[in-house]
Amino acid sequence: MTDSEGVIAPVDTAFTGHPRRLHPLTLLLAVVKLGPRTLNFLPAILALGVTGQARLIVPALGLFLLVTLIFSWIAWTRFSWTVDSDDVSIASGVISRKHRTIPFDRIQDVTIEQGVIARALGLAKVGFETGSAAGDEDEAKLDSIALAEAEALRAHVRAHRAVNSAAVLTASGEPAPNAAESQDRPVFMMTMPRLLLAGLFNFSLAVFAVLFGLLQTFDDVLPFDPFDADFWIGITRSTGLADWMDAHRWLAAVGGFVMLLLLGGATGIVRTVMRDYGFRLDRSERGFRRRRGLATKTDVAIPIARVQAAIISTGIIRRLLGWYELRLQSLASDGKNESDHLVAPLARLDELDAILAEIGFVRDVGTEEQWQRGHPGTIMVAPAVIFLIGAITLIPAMLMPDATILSDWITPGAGLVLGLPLLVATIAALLGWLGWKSHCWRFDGRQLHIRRGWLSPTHIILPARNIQSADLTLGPVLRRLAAANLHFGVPGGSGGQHVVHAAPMDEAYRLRAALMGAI
Amino acid sequence: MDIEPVAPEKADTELQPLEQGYLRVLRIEWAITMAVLLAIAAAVDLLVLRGNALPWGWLSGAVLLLSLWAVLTLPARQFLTWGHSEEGDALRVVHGYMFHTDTVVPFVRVQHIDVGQGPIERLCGVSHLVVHTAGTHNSIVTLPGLDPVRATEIRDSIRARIQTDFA
Repeated sequence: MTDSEGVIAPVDTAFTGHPRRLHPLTLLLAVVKLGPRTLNFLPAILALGVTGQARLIVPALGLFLLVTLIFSWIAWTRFSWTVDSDDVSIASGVISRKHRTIPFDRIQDVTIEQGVIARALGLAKVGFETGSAAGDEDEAKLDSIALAEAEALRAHVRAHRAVNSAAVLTASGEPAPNAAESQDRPVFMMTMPRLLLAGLFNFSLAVFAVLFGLLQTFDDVLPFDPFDADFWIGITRSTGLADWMDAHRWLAAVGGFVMLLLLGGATGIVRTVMRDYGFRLDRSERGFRRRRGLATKTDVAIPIARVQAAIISTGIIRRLLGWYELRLQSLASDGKNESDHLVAPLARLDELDAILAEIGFVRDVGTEEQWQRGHPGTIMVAPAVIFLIGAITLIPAMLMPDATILSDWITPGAGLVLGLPLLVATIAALLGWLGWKSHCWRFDGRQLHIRRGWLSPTHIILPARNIQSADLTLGPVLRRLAAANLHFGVPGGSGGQHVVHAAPMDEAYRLRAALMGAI
Repeated sequence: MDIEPVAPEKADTELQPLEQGYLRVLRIEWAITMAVLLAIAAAVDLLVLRGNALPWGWLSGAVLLLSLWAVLTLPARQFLTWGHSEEGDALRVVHGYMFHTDTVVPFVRVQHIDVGQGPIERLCGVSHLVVHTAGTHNSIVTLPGLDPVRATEIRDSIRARIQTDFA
């Protein structure tokens, strides 16, 4: 496939489907790229000079250059690319051969990149952006071809895309966007009282961590050492506070606790107000538009076509009071730290339903029987492991002739040896049960609903058409229980959250078949 | 050997085994891994354990036995756990016994496709197929041990079913 003669006409823009090579001047680029790397040879050159063999320097460099050229040339002869009627294929590799096919329909854009030298030579590096989630180095590249050829290629791909998307639009009979509808319409807003409430729920003791860190890093931030007990005892003694505290210990403890609550609440409020001040979500022509922020105002567009999943989450207290937050998983990420777009920081369920309705998502809870649950056997896995490990490590310690470490504090003996792991295992079982109880899922024929978590309950709504791949996995434990996990690949987001845990084997296969059928 | 493909009756299509050539690939890969381990063990024996109470060369001996066991039994066990099918609208790849994975990728969700062949694979006359999806979880699905002609056929049949699904 690569060995046909790929003679490149100056600019052949017909793209008739015969294999093409990279521009021959690419070899020159490879040598130029070596420039910085030759610095590594300075010691060798120096050594040659010092040992009085200076006349070898030029031949050595020449040999190095020659070897590089030969290797680049071999790689060049083994690289070819072909543009067919509806895809680009690239064959590459000297020892390991790789033949990549990229359909035009999957190419989001064609990038053209030119360095200084490439510009002087009239070359360009062409990259094909596909929706593939893998890193940059895995994307397809043509490094390098003639600039005119690159531009023709880009035009060719774009022309194909334009024709196809026009065809799709007319096929689905989508009406042209109405001018009157292009006006933004508010969908959700945060009032000041609600903003403050949201702040309270964002209670955070992070301020202490920050202070502690500062103190650790800069010993002399304060004129005294806050970790020196004598310092505090001295202060309280001198002010008479010590006597008062002695008399009202209980009150002092409560006071300290209240202080902590106030500080934590204040931190949460400040952070939330800074971030979500003036929070406003509008329905625009193509999706949502979100504006928020006090010091740093942000204005983010979230096109509906890019929304992959909706994530409703809350906390254990917030749920009791009926408050929830809503995020949308999108192809783009929301700032550096957050991968999903926050579209409602604190809202009632009916408000969430209204937002979801705008993008065609339905938070239909259905009846209790419609929800599927995992295998209850998973509850006992962690407790059993903990109990076994505890028993295995503690029993030999008891049997040791001089079991001083344990016998010092476990006087009743063997009973506690098993009792301690039993206690930990019981707690683990309780947590396991809570986790099992809060995890359930349901497929309503169009969307997969996954609920998880009891401390911070989450409800994911994932339309089946956004699923890219489905992995059914099981390890030794699940095999014994005849159950399996189902992981779904979904574009965007942080990944790894679309999982159905420990579904009974039949249900796992049935659910996957149903989801695949809905795509 | 007590290994059977997991729950084949759950599949709507029969799984196909890989080419026998892939068994040889696995064997060669295991042999290389074990050769490296053996070299390390020998070095430790020669340099560190000289004059040890145990008979000289015990570590190399133990690793040699382990290597023989691994190269003779493991590739066959691994090979049997692999299966694939391209029926219907999806590519299905199944592998692993202890940690079993059963992946399904609908053809319409494939972003681009690679057919590749490494030096060991060329020696054994097999190729591998890699499909890339847009998902953040498991975006690269690899199916090894295919006959090169068959790999190209699968590639072309997937290729034919990729259509524009965005407007």
